[in-house]
Amino acid sequence: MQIVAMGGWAERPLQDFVLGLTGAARPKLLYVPTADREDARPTLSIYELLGDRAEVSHLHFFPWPPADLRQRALASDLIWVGGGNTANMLAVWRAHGFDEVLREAWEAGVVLTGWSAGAICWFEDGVTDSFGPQLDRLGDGLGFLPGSFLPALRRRGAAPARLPGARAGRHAGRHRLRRRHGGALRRRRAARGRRVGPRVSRLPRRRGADRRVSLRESWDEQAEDWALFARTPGHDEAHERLNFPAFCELLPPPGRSTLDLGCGEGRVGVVLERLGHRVVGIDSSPRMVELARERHQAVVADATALPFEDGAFDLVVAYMSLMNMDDLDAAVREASRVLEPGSRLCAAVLHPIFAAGEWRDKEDEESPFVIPGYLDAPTKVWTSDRDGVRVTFHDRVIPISVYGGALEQAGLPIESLRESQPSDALVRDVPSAAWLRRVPLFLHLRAVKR
Amino acid sequence: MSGARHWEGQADSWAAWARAPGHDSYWTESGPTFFELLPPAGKRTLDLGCGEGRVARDLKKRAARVLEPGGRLCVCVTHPMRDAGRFAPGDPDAPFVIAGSYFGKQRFAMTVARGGHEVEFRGWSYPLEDYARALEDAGFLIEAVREPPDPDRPIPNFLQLRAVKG
Repeated sequence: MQIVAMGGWAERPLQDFVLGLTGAARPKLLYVPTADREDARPTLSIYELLGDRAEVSHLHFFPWPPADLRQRALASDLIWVGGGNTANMLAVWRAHGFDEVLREAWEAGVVLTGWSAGAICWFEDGVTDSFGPQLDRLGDGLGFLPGSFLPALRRRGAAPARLPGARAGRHAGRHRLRRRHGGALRRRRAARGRRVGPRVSRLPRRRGADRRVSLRESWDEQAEDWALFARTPGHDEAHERLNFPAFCELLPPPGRSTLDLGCGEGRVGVVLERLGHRVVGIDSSPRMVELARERHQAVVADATALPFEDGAFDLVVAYMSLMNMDDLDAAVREASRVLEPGSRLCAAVLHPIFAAGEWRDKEDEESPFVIPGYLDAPTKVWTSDRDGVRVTFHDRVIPISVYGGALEQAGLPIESLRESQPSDALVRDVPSAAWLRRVPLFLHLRAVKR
Repeated sequence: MSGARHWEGQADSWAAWARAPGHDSYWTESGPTFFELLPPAGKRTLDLGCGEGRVARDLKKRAARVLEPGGRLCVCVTHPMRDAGRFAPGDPDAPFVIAGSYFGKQRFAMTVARGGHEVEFRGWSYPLEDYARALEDAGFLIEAVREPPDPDRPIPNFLQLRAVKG
């Protein structure tokens, strides 16, 4: 009886390994995309990815499962489960008895595999974002394997990532909320079972020691590193627990079409789609867009010349991207153009007061916060290098009045403004977050098109 | 003592302070930039917290007369960041330091003596979000934000907002 639980995207050697476990020259592969709302795009990508080596078919539960559900499972050599919302997937499976069918198939010798949700499900328990953008305990896995599973567990020296269904957002937290006491999430990492850490071949780097690069080039070069940063659960706590949950409170309900401006590798868009938004992402970095396309529709485009009609969207989201725009005024003007009148632009940015200063003593949370300059302050360049993930950030100090000026010129008056503050629960879990009760780390704006 | 009673007691000192030409930053920093923020004169204008009346006097010079429904609310406040910290004394190049917290409604009180005039300033400081929430709750949209630079220091002293009734 064999199960292969994959932390994240499987490169070809791992694909071949899993297919080889079946012992069939051209195994019958049944793909189950329940966790991803049975979205046609990832299903088609499985046909493209594995169709040359396996007889691929897929199983849908909507509008209802096939009458020969059990027979189809038992006739397969390999059942491959896609990523997405683990808890929702299990609820649907159990409603139709597919959990029992899977056990029967497994005991009959069918190889079971999958990534992300398709890996968590085989265990008794796991860490999941099924219940919101935060990480939670799953609590009721199928239990074919003992213990719990954390998808995309990163080990130094290895390079997982490209989680099809994992967590979101670019340029986001970046400022790690240091965990001084091991929390529940960390304890749950004691996963057992057969876990295979896939290796991602990185795109070639073009870094040059003395070469000056624009912000745009910098993000394109760092796309793979950024994807590791953004998609490794727990790596970007400021995004997961402080920035994104508060930002979501500013968002209007899903409407006709949502533009994710500066979508990066897609971590925001994938969550918005789960919330019911129909997302189109744009980013100037071709590599970022390539990664985002694993999760939602995305195109390479310049924010100052969007390839969309006037009024094409009823929501523009700019999550931690405006401060990376080389021409902020033009980007905001263009965002306004593609918004229909009366609709919203929602933006999260690094708070300029935080960007302008620093703690005098980084070990003392009572330390004074020193601001050498604000209206004309230099960009801070710093590198996050933790757990084998290395990303360089350029923190520009963009005063509140500069954002306000760009919005004013674009005909986007500010309807709501928020300054991030950590919750009591966050400070309890991550004591160092207490620092951020004194100075805001993020600024959130919701503006309305006149 | 309430803010109202405090300023009532300071009225004469404040009038002398405010009416001495060139005496404070109103003449060079907060005043000129604030008037740039104002919309053209309408029907009637309310000066909310008019003090001894110097803003209203200058508005009259600009022929401002009235306010109408759907008009603008223009406010000039001490910059929330400026209220949260201070420059280390004694050194004109000293950096600005927030020793406590930027957040929360906080009382401030300080006595400033200059050119023979002395005034004790008292009031409340709020983070930017509090001003924005108050405007949002009252149905305003913020259409302009200004942070006029202080010619002598790298931190703006004032925050100016123009809001329109939505």
